[in-house]
Amino acid sequence: MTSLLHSITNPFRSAIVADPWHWDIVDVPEIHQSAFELCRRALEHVRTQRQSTSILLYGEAGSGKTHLLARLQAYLAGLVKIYGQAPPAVFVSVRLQTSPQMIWRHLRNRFGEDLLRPTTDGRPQLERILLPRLKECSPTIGEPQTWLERLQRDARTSAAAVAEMEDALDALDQQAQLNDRDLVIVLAHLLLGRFRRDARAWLRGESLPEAALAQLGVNTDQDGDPEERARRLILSLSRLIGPELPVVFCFDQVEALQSHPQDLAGLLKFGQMVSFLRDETSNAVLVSCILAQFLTTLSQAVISSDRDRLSTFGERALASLTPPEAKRLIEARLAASPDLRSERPAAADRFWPLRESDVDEALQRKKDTPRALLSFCADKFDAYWQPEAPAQVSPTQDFLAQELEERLARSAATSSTEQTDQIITHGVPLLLRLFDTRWEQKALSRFRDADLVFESPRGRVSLSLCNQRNMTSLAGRLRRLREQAAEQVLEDVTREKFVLLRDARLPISSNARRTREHRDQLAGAGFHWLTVSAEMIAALDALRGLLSDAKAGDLANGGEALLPATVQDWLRDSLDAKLRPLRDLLDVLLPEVPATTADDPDFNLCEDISELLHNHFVVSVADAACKLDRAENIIEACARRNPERFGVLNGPPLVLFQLTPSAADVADAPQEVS
Amino acid sequence: MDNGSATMISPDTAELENEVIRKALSQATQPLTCKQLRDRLTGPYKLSEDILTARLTAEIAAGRVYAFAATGRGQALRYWTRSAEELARETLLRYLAQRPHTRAELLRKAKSTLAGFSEERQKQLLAQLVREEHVQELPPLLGGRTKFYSAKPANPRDYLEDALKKLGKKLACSREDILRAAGLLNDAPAAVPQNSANESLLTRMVQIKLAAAQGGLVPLNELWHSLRTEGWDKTSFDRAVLHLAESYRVALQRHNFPNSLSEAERAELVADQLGNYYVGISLR
Repeated sequence: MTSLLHSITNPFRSAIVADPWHWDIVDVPEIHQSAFELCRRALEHVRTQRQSTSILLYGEAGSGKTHLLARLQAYLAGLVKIYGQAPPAVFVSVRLQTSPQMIWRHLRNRFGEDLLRPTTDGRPQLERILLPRLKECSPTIGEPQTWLERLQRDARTSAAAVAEMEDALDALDQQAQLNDRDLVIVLAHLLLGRFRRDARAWLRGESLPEAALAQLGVNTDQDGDPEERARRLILSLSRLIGPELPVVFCFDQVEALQSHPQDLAGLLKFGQMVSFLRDETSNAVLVSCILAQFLTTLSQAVISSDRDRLSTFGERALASLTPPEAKRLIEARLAASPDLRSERPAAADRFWPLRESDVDEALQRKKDTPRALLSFCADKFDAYWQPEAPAQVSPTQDFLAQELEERLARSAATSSTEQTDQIITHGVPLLLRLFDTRWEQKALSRFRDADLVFESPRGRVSLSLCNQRNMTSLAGRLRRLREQAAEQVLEDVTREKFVLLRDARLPISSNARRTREHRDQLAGAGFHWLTVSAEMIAALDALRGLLSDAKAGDLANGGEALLPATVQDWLRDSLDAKLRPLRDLLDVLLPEVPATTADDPDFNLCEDISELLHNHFVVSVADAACKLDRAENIIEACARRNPERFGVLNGPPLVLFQLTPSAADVADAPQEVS
Repeated sequence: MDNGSATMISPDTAELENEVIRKALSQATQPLTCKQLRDRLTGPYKLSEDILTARLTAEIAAGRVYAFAATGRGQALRYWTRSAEELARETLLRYLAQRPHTRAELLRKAKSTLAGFSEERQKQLLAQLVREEHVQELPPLLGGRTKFYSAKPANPRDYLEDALKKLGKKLACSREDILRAAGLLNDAPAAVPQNSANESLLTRMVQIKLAAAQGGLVPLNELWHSLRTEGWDKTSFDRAVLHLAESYRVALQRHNFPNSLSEAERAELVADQLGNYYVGISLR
């Protein structure tokens, strides 16, 4: 019996809902019912009045804000039935782990991603909403699903099927006034199942090479303000969805928009964004969630009219649990455990193996948020089942080390080149502040094509992100920078640094001669070219995730939210060991550290090898030498001089392979495996 | 390297100035004339009235600022970041937060402030506020037919007082006589001070923030500052807040990182015996 009990999973341990899209959780509808009802009423208001509205929710760390959003998502998906049939609506979840200058692009990315997310019937949200709209505008298509399946089947062989789809979308375009030719084209591809990967990437706002854009048939000129493009597309998507169908935008972790407590730029932009969506769309329900203690900061940061627009329909505090709610939650958790049900004695108390007095004790000790209560009960549960087992709460240092390790592994496995700009613009300000709190982000720059500018008594650092897949766009940016630099002279290279930054996983093709030429010219003018390794990006992603979660109260050890300052201190102390790639990144960024890019003889060869490995993954040095028309010893020497980019397997034959963060472990120093 | 200073005003500088102008306007509780706006600007942002007028004209064209007709004997246009509808909305809600009004009474009161916003539109706006549940439609007083509007739920006391007055007039007796006859008045002392304190605290919450009536959060430091001017001491305030929370009439919101606050900031909050610091209060 004892060994069996030991194998029972503690029903209180999985306390945190990290993502509103996850609904495999125990729910007690009475908890935060008023806030949920407010959301339902707002949905109805938007549907009937055809006017966008907004709600502001706040609560302590662990009060269940994300859980409430998950309940709303599940309700709209038809997974929560007690309120009856939910009205059709689109759900978009936006965690604001982004920088102010990319806030619209971040929203477009999340909007696109969630529109493409499969619903319970396996079809993406986008298809589910588009088909009725197409039917509405083109009644002759008949039963829309059958119609779509026929077109998808025929589109491979018949141009008439494509034309039929275009006609239907044209009718929708005219009715919805999308005013976006590219969007209509991409929608046709998505519906017909053509060029799926690139069409999805386009919808999410990711950079695509010219060839992919040309194949899609959309505009290849990606110049102009990308934030404005993202904003326009969001409006078009909103019109596409139609006035009768609400789009629920849920903004979580608003706190993460601050790189430090005095940084109000991100919050100001957030207020403007919500205000714009509320005024310029007619079908948006905008739900913003913040920590209660953050309310004053938010109100001070945004202009008052924007503050009003954050809660047009109302605001609710997520209250601490009352005794009946707390008891109901514990009962529900216990009841959801099948292991416990089979072990439960016939005449056992309803809280078995806990006691009602345990819940009362938790409330007396103010463990009265769902997270704190569940953590308290988890400890009690362990104490009853396994009194001899050690306590589950780890020391903060150990907890953070484990969290970091998990996040590094996750980022290494999932972060793609499409996220690089987002990670850099959000993560680098945090990293610089971590290193020295005197680093301030500045809005103004003499260089229009600088994306980030930082100043401190140490000097000035300007960053220009060069992660375009589209070589015409990249060449355009570098050309403009050359023009802007023409009249500027870098006077004191120990005080000022201009860094052109590109993800190592995006090699510059040997055919992109103009791009390479501009780069060389800029390097000659004192600009620094920084090829950021995948390890650096993964580490930066892990760092920003930890800090964002801490600021939003979502980083909890044993039910207690960790203080952001504690996390910052620990990360700072870890720069030389666990976060070594970030120390390396800092060394390149800081103005007092000289960089060696102007006459870097390896640059073009590195890009060539990288391009080769990008296409073939593993190549022998002999083959590489042949393909690149260089001597084998030169190729080998270059690869060994750049261990952060290339893996080398000793032979014979000597082999090069593409280095990823996980592969870096295999190819770790000395980078050779016999 | 040069510092980027230039004699020409860069677009960034102009945008920064425009942002300051908008911020100043948005912080005003009502539309401002150009002169009034200039008085609120300081340092490099105290632009000349000509430049300010030009900037305001451009902001109006961009839809970020709204112009309002002059009021009273003044000739100058007034400016604000909120539209005429928002002004009307705030004005109506402000009056309705003070006490219930009949529609006619409300429109009469708002007339001078909302010149240019027609009575018909004001009526439509009031109906919309009711639909959005920001305003409640209250029943007529006893024997009356006119409905009332208020930002707060009906207070039975208002109706009782009115009924007592009418009954007293009809029977020609005092309010106390009626209450004594109904067995509602005896020689027992008035309600205990604690209850009275609790009630005035709850009332003040809604006065500070209308949304508090529907579960919105009131910052505790704001509530404390508001009650301090009426002679409250901090100990009584803390006791009343904690007492209301213990009886589940209100919910308190903790500060999750109180150690990040200064001693002075913590002193503005409410602390319990377990070392928790509370930042906000909401009605349950």
